[in-house]
Amino acid sequence: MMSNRTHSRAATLLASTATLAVLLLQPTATPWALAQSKTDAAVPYDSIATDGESYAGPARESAWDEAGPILYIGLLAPLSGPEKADGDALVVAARMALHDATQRPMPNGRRMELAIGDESGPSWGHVSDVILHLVFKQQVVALITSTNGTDTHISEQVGNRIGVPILTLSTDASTTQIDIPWIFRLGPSDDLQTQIMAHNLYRERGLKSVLLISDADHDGRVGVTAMQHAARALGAPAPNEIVLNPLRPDFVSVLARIHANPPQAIVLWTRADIAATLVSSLHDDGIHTPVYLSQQAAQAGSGLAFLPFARQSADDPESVAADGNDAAVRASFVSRYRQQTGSSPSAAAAEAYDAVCLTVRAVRAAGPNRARVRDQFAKVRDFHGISGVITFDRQGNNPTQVHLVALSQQKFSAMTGDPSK
Amino acid sequence: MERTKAISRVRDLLCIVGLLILATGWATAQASSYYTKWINYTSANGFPPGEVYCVTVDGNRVWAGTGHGLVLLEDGRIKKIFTTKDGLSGMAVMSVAVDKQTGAVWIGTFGGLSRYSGGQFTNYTNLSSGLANDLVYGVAVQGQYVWVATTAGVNRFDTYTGSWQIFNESNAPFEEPWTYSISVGAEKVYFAVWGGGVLSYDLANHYWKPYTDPDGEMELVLYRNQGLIHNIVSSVSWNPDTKTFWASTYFGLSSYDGRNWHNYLKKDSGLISNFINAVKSRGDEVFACTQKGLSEFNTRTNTWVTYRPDPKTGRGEILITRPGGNKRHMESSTTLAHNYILNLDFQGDDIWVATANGLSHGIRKHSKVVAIPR
Repeated sequence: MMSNRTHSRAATLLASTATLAVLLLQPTATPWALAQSKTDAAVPYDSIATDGESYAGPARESAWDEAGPILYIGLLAPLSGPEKADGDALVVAARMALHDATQRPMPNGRRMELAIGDESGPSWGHVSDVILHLVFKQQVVALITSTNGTDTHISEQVGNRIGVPILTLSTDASTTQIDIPWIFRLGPSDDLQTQIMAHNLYRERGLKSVLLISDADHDGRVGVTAMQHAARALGAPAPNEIVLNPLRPDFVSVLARIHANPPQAIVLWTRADIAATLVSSLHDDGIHTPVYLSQQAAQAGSGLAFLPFARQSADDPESVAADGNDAAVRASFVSRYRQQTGSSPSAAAAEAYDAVCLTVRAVRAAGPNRARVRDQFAKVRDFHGISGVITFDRQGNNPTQVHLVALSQQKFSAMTGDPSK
Repeated sequence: MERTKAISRVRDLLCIVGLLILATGWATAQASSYYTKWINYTSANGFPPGEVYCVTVDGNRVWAGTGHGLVLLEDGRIKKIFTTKDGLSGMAVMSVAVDKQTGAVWIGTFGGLSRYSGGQFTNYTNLSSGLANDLVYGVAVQGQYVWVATTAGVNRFDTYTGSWQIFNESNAPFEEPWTYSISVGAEKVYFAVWGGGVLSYDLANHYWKPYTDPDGEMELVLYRNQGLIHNIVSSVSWNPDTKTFWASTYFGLSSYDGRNWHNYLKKDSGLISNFINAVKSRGDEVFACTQKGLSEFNTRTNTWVTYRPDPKTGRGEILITRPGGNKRHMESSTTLAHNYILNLDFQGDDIWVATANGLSHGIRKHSKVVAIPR
């Protein structure tokens, strides 16, 4: 298990790695570029981290408070189609959280409910209308978005204009690289995931030939970019790539390419249902190459869903938990989740649980006001959630959660994944 | 011979000094003209409460898009507030453009696109027309065409034929299709793209050109005038007088004159905040609508002036930053309705400013302002 201190250390070292990546991205060595690099390239002219902005707008006054006896928490999730299992998992976890977090009555006799929007399908027009419905008709006090990076971007664009706090399960790093004060990410970004994966692949295992399989969509594209950066930062060869059409993935061709040119490891940056089919196909084809899954790929639809470090059962020797209280709460969550669904919760489901708990907590502290709820989110430090310890930094990232977990013979175990080792 | 040369040099030098004195005096006179009179329209005087997302001037009429509908002002008086009950496609109005030839008003809302003409609304939505998406951030009229910035790409609507064209990552160099604003020039139309920088469309030759952040880093600016400062662009404004486009981001301000880029950050200019919702430029003036006030930059005098309410006194603060960083602080009795600025338009020498808590009409006066020592 990586302790919290280890998490912090890893995060610090990863930040250093990111800086190195920037230096490696110097312009072509023209005389002009060389001259500049000698004088000032070591220190970027400016960075969001050092010169960022917090929200200076209005809407904290009581005139902006949401009215009515029921306050809604918005949740965007895919509820039909190939990602239905992922969406259903988020809804189950969110409902459990709402039940748990509102055991104690809310101030002023208000009730809190979930307003769930179905984001299924590729039609952005549909998703936009769902977001508008949640924001304007349901007047949600905060909006929780799924792992879908595109829908998260659309949500944050609306949130930024209208003033709605967004808690996202999306790992798309670019959602928080904008200096928008309305968005907060619960899990590790693509950058953090790829950095720790790349370290394990290239440094710890010393591999040279890695195959990266991604979807031909926004999330696949940004994941590939992050993986390329992470490999480059370690001086490793760029991974070979296969890009799948998520609407009509050609698994036969993928397997043929793997047989023709066997990689030492495979990284999947795909939808969970596609990851499930690929992992199953690889197994059936007798390919035993280690497979790495992004958090998005390891959702409920992958059939491999698990909550890292959660107690799988009372006598599970591989399970690891934090302190006693956290362990009890997590065990209760996992147990109840299994009772309801028959499977283990994914990391995204655990984050959905935490997002609802954070929102209820924020409303208790700030009242029914979107801007004040946003302020409460910005103050979150060391929140011990089901998914781990949550701290939001100035950009809305949660930099403390970096886990790489191995599944072997139905047993989960922590891999080091720590660049310091 | 040497003596003649020396006299000639002295004469040239005196000419230069004289010109410099004249230029400095003129610049000072220009810079000393400030917006010191503000008339505000808020819920206190019948205006819808909360944010004003956009403002468009059409002669003596002013259109203001709010979270509670579209407001029409005539000669400074609220004439009508249009809502969805009147036929508007959405309550949150993000942009307004007036067709100078037909008088039709095009309205971009969170709910689709509306056309207001002859007292009637005609609505265009994702399901009922070729509109790419119902989240409409920007709209602009260019001849017979109406350009629409949506979250799923750009539309061009031909008002003569009624046909729609859509531009997105499939047929144009969009890194992402999320389009936030439009500015029409004589030869090109410019688009601010969230995640995709600035795109221009050449009207004569029908080609697209992207302008993106050259360092490829979202969280860094590697060099000062490296190119576009950030790929998340909130707004773009073409200045026909200087042949320059200005792009606002949430991480600073950029300009490009066809040869050189110039970037402006809070730390090295008089810009009051790097978080800029919109930019508007004409002549030597550039207005940055920031979340901490309205910053005006005069490109000729290199002087910045920021207007914002003083939260302690309720009076107006005028912060002046001259070349070299010399700062001065002044005060006015009236001020903007709020320091969070979302949009702006010109009405002659006056400006109309959309703020997060009402609409403000700024009048530039040479009236006496009080210098406050800091």
